[in-house]
Amino acid sequence: MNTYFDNAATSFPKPPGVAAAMARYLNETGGPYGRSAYARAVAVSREIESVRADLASLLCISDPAHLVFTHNATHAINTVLSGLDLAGKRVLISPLEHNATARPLERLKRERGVVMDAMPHFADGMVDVQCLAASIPKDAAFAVVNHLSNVNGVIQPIAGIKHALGAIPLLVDAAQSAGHVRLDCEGWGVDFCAVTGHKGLLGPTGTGALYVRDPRALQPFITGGTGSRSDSAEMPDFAPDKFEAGTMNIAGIFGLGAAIRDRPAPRHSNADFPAFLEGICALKDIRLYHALDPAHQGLLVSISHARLDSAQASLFLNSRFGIETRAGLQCAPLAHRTLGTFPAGTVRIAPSIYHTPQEFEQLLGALSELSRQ
Amino acid sequence: MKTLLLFRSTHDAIKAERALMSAKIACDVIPVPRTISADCGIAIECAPDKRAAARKALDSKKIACILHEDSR
Repeated sequence: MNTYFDNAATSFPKPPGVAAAMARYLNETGGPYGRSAYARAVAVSREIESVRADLASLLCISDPAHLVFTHNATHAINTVLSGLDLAGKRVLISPLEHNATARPLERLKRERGVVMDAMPHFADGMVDVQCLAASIPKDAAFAVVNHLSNVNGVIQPIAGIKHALGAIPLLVDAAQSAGHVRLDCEGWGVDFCAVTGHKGLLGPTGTGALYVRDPRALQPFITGGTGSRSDSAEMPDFAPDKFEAGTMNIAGIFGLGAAIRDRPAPRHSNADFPAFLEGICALKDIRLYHALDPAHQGLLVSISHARLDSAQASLFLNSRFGIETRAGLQCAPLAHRTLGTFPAGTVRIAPSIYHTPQEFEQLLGALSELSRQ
Repeated sequence: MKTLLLFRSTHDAIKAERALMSAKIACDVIPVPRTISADCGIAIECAPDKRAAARKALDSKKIACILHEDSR
């Protein structure tokens, strides 16, 4: 049995091509990106640009230059929040934000007088688009939405939210959705989109990317060498170079490229996870935290137990069945406050495309035994 | 005499190389000559009689470049 149900933290296993591509770079290819013109360096630059193009295609971005590599989604989000002049401005956020957004905003609140407002929402944290459209403060200057909650799997209606926001710039945190849900950056009309490579995309840790609709509107998070405009003390003013100071994670990006190209077909159907959730709902003393609208449910949920706390419940699953889950607040205290599970937290169940219907059944059996504790 | 194509970024240079190869225009990736720029980036070199075809191939892909005649 594939006992690993912590794929929202980081995915495992990876497609076999990921490790092979990384080893190929480390053992054979070598060389820098964008710094030299000898064959080895050009081969590396070609592969990096090829991965950039593949990832841009996945995110529905017509010009890959607007997609810059980062270390992860947190790095991408910080690039946006620190690269805009938000001093004294009002920022709207979804009620299910992760600390990747909440902490940088809290810092901006403390240091720059930023004001945060949660968007109107339903009980599961899904943004109420109609209410939002009718209640946007006149001084709202920016918005951030976590596309797929890392606590209950709610998928936010990004197109509707952006329509309601109008000209207010929107950053989409797609850390959990990339690889699982279609991302349509240009179709949505969003201004920024942050993704990580190691979760749903099945790539290695240390890889991520940021879509920047208008590179002129954003200052770089860090400055340094780019291999371009080297005679200037200033950063290049064009993407991707403007946001890619320093040598990037070349081995990781090689692996990410393999993850995108060698992605296996899911081992379960679209009906299997909802059926599994129905099974959980039937268990006594287990409460399920999920999307109220099944059409907005991602491939993860949380549970709580009537008598055991989240750490005890997670430990039971692990010690009795070897099942690996994430207990606690999952770095998302705002989401837990919204769902009424703060500070106790939940046990998160996050499968991957590698899980089979039989493994969902085995997990349900384990949860059934947990419910009797 | 060679025609040099200069780009502002590696991203553009690699994209241009792909476009030229698709158009079957022979080219080489070389370091930007010091006599042209203090930049440490890469340039593409092709035969002077391919200059117009190269320009057309890059324009069709909306890839910005500067054409430079190199007499080295």
